Amino acid sequence: MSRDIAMTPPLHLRVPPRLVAALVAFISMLAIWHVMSLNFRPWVPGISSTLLAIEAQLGSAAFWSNFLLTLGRVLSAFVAATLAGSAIGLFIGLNKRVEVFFQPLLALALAVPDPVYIIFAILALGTGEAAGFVALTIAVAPFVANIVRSNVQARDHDLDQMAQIYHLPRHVRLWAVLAPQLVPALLTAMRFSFALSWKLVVVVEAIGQPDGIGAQIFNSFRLLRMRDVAAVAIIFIIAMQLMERGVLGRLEKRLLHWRN
Amino acid sequence: MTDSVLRVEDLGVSYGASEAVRKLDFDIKRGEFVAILGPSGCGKSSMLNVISGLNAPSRGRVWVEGAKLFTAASKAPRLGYVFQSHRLLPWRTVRQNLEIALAASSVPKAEWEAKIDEILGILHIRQFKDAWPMRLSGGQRQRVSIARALVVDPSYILMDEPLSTLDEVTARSLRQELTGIVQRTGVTVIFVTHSIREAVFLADRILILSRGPARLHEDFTVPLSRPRNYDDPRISEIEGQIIAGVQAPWGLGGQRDVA
Ligand SMILES: Nc1ncnc2c1ncn2[C@@H]1O[C@H](COP(=O)(O)OP(=O)(O)OP(=O)(O)O)[C@@H](O)[C@H]1O
Ligand SMILES: [Mg+2]
Repeated sequence: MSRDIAMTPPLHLRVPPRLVAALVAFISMLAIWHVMSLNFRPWVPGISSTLLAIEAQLGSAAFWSNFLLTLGRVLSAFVAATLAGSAIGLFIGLNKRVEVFFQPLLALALAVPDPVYIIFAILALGTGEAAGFVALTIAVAPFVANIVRSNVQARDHDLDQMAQIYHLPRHVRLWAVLAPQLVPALLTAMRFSFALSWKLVVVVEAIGQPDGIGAQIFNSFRLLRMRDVAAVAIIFIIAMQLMERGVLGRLEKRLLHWRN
Repeated sequence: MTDSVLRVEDLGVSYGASEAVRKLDFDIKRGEFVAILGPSGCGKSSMLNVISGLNAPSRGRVWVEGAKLFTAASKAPRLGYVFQSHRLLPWRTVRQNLEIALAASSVPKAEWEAKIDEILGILHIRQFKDAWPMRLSGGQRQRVSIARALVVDPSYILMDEPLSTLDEVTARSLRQELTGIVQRTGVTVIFVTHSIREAVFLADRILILSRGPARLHEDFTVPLSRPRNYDDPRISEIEGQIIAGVQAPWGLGGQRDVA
């Protein structure tokens, strides 16, 4: 106990340099925004009117119903893409022969720009709920698959040999030997696929859906209500960032606690 | 014959056209501590891969406790293996690492707890039962690795240079303890090392291999009673004899491989 106290660094009242940098960046951004709003009047809304619009949106039931709708779409696409991508990556990574067959397909899937998937999905499935879900899953899953595949292949083969010598059954090898080696990469993949998911969901909603945050932004834009465009976008971006850092960050701490 | 744990006859291992092990014959009895000495790259690991049941040999026969390996009906041998590095699962505690090996062994679950406690006790690491491997020192991790090998009730334990990555002080104390552990448990050990002194100190018998492809150069019985002292001048003497004896079969560069 006494040693713990001795090991903690002395308290500093100085502000950490990273915080200063973040503050400077934030203030510069506000300044740029302010200058832009003075010069591009109707297109870039002012800071104070945007803040008022944010307050109004936060108090509006219509906004929250759109928000929840979009959140549901983001989460379902994210979960589907992560699961499908992990399964495909695992399958390719563990089988040399499968890799020969699938690797070019995966490379192709990674090269196709995301709007292509969106457009094709809408053409094939119409503008219903399914189109967005399918497009997103197909657009995001290859990224996850690729990260998982490369980490399966880069696994510790010494541990595989240990598992073989001690006759560990297949499910133990997968769950206790292989899976934990994939956790850091999988978390990176999840961060990435989450960020990609929510951005694409907004695009899909703007193009082809009557409701959700994307549709709300697009409607406000058509009515030239740029304050609302900015307000809704800002709230949504902050919410997504919080989820990414909070939920995924906590998951990371929990899954990698054995490290320190 | 009945107390033969491992018997190898006319063993050959080739990788395509290149030959790693040419012709090995030996028989290891229950409770024996056998060291294997040979120059780098002579085929020791290739041989271990066969007697651990991982790879079928290109030629020859292997029996474990009277049962022939590598036939359609044969099961892989029950063995413990201590590798050069610990090869523990860092995301499992010490106890969980042992339990994973136990779950795949024939030890009944009701006996696990007592067995784990006993073996961690023998290795003086019972206080680390619930620790993460990353928290342990190199020597402690290697103790856990030895515990894992012992806990599964193996027919024999293979050790492939298990002390070579430890600092000399740690290696010394573990080496000293290893003799006690082997005596207490009566386990059969096959111990690959590059250190002739270590082999002389630990082993009842040393199989000295030739330069690759490996053949048996000499089956050497260590003429020392136990307990032994690592600094005993007789160990140096025997070490000197062995070094003199391997000059020719290990080639002129034989000295290079002597730790
Ligand atoms: N999987 C393999 N494929 C082809 N050649 C191999 C393979 N494994 C080993 N060899 C070759 O077989 C020979 C014996 O190698 P092995 O690893 O068995 O030697 P070793 O005695 O264990 O060496 P060291 O003392 O360095 O551990 C070497 O020439 C090596 O290059
Ligand atoms: Mg080797």
